[in-house]
Amino acid sequence: MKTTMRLSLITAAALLTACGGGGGGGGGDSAPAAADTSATASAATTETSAPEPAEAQQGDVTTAELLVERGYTLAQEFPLQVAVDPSEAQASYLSICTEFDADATTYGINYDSCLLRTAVDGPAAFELLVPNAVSELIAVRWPYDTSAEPVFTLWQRSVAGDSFNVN
Amino acid sequence: MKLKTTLAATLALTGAQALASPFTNCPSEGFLVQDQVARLYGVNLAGGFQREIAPAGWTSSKLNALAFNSFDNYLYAYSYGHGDIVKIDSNFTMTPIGSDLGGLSFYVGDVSTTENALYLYRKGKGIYRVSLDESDKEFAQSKLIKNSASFAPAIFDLAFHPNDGKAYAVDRNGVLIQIDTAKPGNSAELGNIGQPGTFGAAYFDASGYLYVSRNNDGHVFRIDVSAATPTAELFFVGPASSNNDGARCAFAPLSSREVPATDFGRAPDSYGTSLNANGARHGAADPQLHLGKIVSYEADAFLVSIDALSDDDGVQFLTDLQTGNPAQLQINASGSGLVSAWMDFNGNGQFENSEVVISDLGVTAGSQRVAIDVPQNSKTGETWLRVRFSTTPGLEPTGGAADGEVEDYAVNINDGALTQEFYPRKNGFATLAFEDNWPLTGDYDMNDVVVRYRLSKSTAGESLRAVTIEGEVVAMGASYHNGFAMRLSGLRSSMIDEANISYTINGVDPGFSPLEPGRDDAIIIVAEDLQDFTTPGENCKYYRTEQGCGSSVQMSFKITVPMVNGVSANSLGDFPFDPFIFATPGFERSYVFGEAPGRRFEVHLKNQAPTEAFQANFFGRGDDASEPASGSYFVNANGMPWALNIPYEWKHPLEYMDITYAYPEFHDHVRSKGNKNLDWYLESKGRAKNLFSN
Repeated sequence: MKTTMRLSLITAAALLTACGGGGGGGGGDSAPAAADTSATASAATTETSAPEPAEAQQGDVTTAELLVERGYTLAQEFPLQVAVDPSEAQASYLSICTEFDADATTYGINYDSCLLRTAVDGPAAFELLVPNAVSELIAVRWPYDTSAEPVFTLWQRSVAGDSFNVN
Repeated sequence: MKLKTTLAATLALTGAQALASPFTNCPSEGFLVQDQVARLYGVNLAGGFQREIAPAGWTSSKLNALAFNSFDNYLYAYSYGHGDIVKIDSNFTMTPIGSDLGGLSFYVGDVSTTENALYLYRKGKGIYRVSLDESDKEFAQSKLIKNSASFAPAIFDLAFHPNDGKAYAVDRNGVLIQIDTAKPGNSAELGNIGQPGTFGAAYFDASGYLYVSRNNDGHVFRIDVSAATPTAELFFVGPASSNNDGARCAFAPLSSREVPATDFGRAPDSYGTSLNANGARHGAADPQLHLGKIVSYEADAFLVSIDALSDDDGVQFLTDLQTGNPAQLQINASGSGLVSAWMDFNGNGQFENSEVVISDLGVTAGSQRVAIDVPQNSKTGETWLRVRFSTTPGLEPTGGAADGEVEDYAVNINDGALTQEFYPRKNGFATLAFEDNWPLTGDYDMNDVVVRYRLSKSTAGESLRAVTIEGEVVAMGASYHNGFAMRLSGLRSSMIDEANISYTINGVDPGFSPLEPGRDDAIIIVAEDLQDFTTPGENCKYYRTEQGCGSSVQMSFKITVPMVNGVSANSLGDFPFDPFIFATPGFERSYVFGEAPGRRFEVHLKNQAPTEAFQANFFGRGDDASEPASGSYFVNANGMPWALNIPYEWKHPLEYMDITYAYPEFHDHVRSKGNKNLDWYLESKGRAKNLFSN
């Protein structure tokens, strides 16, 4: 479970860095880098094909040699079964999103990160396609009655697996 | 506003009849042309920003060797579409001059400051002079004045000095070159400016400073060409472009450099957005007072500058917008002030007084939940919301305020309850990476065609209402001509409400339907040839795959596909539907086909069956080991596909870089059948130096 939590933090951090642009990434990579810089640059301006990267001599297989199970499609997502079952019948608007933060009293949600947006007024079911690297989601229902408080439900893959019961 | 009227008037006439009018006498703004489908920008060198000045759709051609002619105040350029030099007037109408250049194209050129003639340079050919003087009997005739045996530097633009009349350029190693076109034998190297690169745009100002813009990172350097040791001084950072050419009236002085201190909105100018239209704008009297986390200041609306980060971050939509229903927003403010907002409910392109949705609402620091009413008679579809925050009461949708911020949002009004599902998320991109050498094994750098995209589908109850496909082509490490398409798996073409499809490329409606005709399947052709919209640019073989070949993204698309009534939501297959590349008709492929395979050639994601257009006996050729009978498609003998789909804004490997050296965890992930290294594709998991970046 700890691992899963860490993955999600890394995801969030990477997304934030991506917004800022610039070539920051690649941190912590102590492996010897390929002798690619000059090779690629020269290949760009001449007609010759690039020399193999230095790592190729270290006994690794190339991707062309990689053995892949026939039936495995390399899909990077999984289906998540969402069941909405509000404790009280109340017209509300549901969002399920990947990016959020929490303070002592409430959650802050980035609605641009949502996978689903829909009005609900009773039990409902959905199937969402969730990227494998996403390990946490938040659901929020905002009642159309502005005097009623929003209802938040969290999902963690390590706890709830491939189903998400939304209050 | 004024500009728009002029343009409309021009478009009403045919090109030849339009009244040609020159640009202002020696404008201080520079000109910059970029991209495969040319975009023309005005560049304010002093302020370090640029704005697009020619309207979208003004040309479908690629332009280069842009030059401002101070003898007639027209722009001239080499047009790849016309195969000729074109004269461009202030209405952005292009007229070919009828030169005798034949098939020779140019990307280096400028008009002399001492004679009415255009000088063009091409490596391997030399320097040509073309007279632009219409009274001259040599008008439009080209003359080779210096051949490549004596002059062959790698330069990508040149500019004429306002005072000494000589041309200057910086070559790829950073060497400043002076060319005396009056005595072509007298070219000289004046020293190294200390910055190498592809300098695709060059300008002079009246003081004799040379400005050169580097393609891959947009850095603009200033050089005093009269200095004993001319050196590059970083002047500002503009957008990167692989295809870039600049022009400016060399006699215009640079106006003083002002630090912008006003925040503008971004809705179309009919709403009152730019300074010229008395746009909504907020001064920097209290820079700590804003919506959301940031506010950015500009010299005017619609400018492209180094500060490209969106500052529209203060409003969240807690519900959708439905006609006749209340909607809820969450507004985040940095301090105490007043919020007002307007929504263009009738879709007439203006915020009217009756369209106020929030009026001087007092807020404090933090988030507030606000309900607004969406009138029953609102026009459905896309419209705009403007939110203003200031200590000044009684603000209108336009006009200035001393403090605070304005944020404009493009929003959608629906006519009923819709369920919307997004892939990979509402506002974010997934990435498709293709090897296009199928059925031959490629180099697995996975960058022959790289498309970032997102999908959404909206349903009302059990009915499918619409699908949207939106994205951008971010790399093409390929020489083959490829098209990109999306089969809406499960849907028949007869289910599509074709007349109401909305289709734009780079914001322009191509004027035809993207639904492939004559097919039973619903196939959306995003573009038949991606090379129509992207160019590797100067000194690069491919588009955005090689080091030093950075560029802004040159092709974006958005397609909304509505359904006819009664299409069941269950008909449509799962995300990501069925994206694929195909061979552009008329272009040869590899030897395994013998003739140009055109639409009969497709490459899909692994185990995705091809469309009805595919030629079935292509399977099994070359290295392909598909077994259609057992549902195994587009794989080699090892089970490896020619295409990957990654639900993330993936940074693709550099040219010729096997994906395993760019993302070291990829192989283990695949060997585990996806159970290990689930986040192998994140930027933090890649080797930065083996990934492409601008």
